[in-house]
Amino acid sequence: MIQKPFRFFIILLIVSALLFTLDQTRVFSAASSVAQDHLVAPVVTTGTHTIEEGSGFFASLLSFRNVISTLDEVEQERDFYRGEYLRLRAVDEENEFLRQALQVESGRQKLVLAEVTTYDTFQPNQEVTINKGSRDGIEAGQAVIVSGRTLAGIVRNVEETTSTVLLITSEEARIPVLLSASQTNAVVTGSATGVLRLDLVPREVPLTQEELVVTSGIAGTIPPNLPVGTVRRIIDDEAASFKRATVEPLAAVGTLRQVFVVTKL
Amino acid sequence: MSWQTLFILFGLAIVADLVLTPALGGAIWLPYFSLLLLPFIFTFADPIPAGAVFIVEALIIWLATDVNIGIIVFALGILVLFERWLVPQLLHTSTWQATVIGALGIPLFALTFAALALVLPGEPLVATGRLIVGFFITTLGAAITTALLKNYYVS
Repeated sequence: MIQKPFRFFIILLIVSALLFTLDQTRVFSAASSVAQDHLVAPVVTTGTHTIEEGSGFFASLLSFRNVISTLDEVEQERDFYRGEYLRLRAVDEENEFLRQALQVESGRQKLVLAEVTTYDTFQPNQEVTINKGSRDGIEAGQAVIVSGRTLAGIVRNVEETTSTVLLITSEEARIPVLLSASQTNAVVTGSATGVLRLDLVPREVPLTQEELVVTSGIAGTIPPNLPVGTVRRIIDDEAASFKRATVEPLAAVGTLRQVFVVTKL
Repeated sequence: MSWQTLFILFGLAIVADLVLTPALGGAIWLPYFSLLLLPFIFTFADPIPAGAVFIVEALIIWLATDVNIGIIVFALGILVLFERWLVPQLLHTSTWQATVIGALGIPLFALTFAALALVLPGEPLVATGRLIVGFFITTLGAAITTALLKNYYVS
C-alpha cells in the first residue's frame, strides 16, 4: 500500500511531464524506431501470419461439408459439359465431313448423304447398310465416298429406302485403279483381314511406297480420280508375271457413320 | 506467489499481446492480456517486481501505440495509485468487492490515457468502438484473473 499518496502523485506528475517533454522533442524516436522495427514488428508479423494461417486451416476443416457439396455440384456440371462436349464434337465432325464433301466437283455429280445404319459385327470390313435407297436415286454399282472424296465402297443391293454397300476392303470388291505416279492401270481387291491388295501391275512399271492409288473410272459407274489408298508394301516376286503390293486404305471403313453416294455422272 | 512466477505470467501475457491482439486491434492495438494482469500485480506484488512490471508495460504500450510515453506513464501511475492506495483504503484486498472494484482500474487507466492523448496536441489516438469493447472485455478479464490469482497470494 502507498503510504504517502500525495508525494507519489507529485513525483508521478514530474516524471510524466519530463518524459512527455523528452518524447515531444523526439529524443527517444531513434530508440523507439529500432525497438519497433527489430523487436516488436517481427514478433507481431510472425504472430499475425501464424494466426491467419491457423484460422485458414481451421476454417478449411470446418468447411469440409461445404467442400463436399461444392464437389457434388462441380461433378454435375462436369457431366453436363461432357455431354455438351460430345454433342459439339459430333457437330464439328459432321461439319468437317460436309465441308470436305463440298469440295467434290458439282455439275456432273450429285451427292446423296446417307447414314450407316447397320454393320455386320462379325465382318465389319465387308459390308454396311445405309438409309437411302431407290427412292433417293440410289442404284447398284454407284460409288460411295467419305470425307476427302476417298472411296469407301460400292453400292451392291438397293431397296426402296435402304441399300447395302460393299466396302473396298471386302474380299468381293474389285476396283479398277490408277497409279498416280506412273498413270498405270491396275486393280485393287479387298481381303478377309481388311487389307487392300494391288495387283496386275506390269513388272517394268516402277512402284514406290506411299504412292497414291486412285480410281481409274474404267468401270463407268465409279468416277475417276477418287483416292483409294497408298502403297504400303511392295511384293516383287521375280517368278510372277506382275508386281503386287498391299495398299493402306484412306477411308476409315471400320468407323463409318455418314457417307455420300455419287448418284450420277 | 514468487516474483519469478509473476514474471513468467507477465511474460506469457506479453507474448500473447504481441501475437494475438494485433489481429484483433486493427489500426491500433493495445496489450490487453498484460493490462488485465495489472490490477492484480499492482495490488498484491511487492514494490520492486511491481515497478519492473510498470516499466515494461509502459514500454510495450509506447511501442504499440506511438502515444507519448509521458502520457502512458501518468495513466499507469494513476492505475497504481488506484490499486495500491484507494482500493485498500476502502476495502480489504482479499474480498470479492475489492476484486471487482480493483478491476475498474482498467477503465480508469483507459479514460486517463484517452483524455490526455486527445487533449494534448499531436497524439495519434482514435477512440474506436473496437478499443472500447477491448477495454470492457479486459476489465472483465481483470476481475476474473484477480479473483483466481489472489488465492495463490493470500495464504
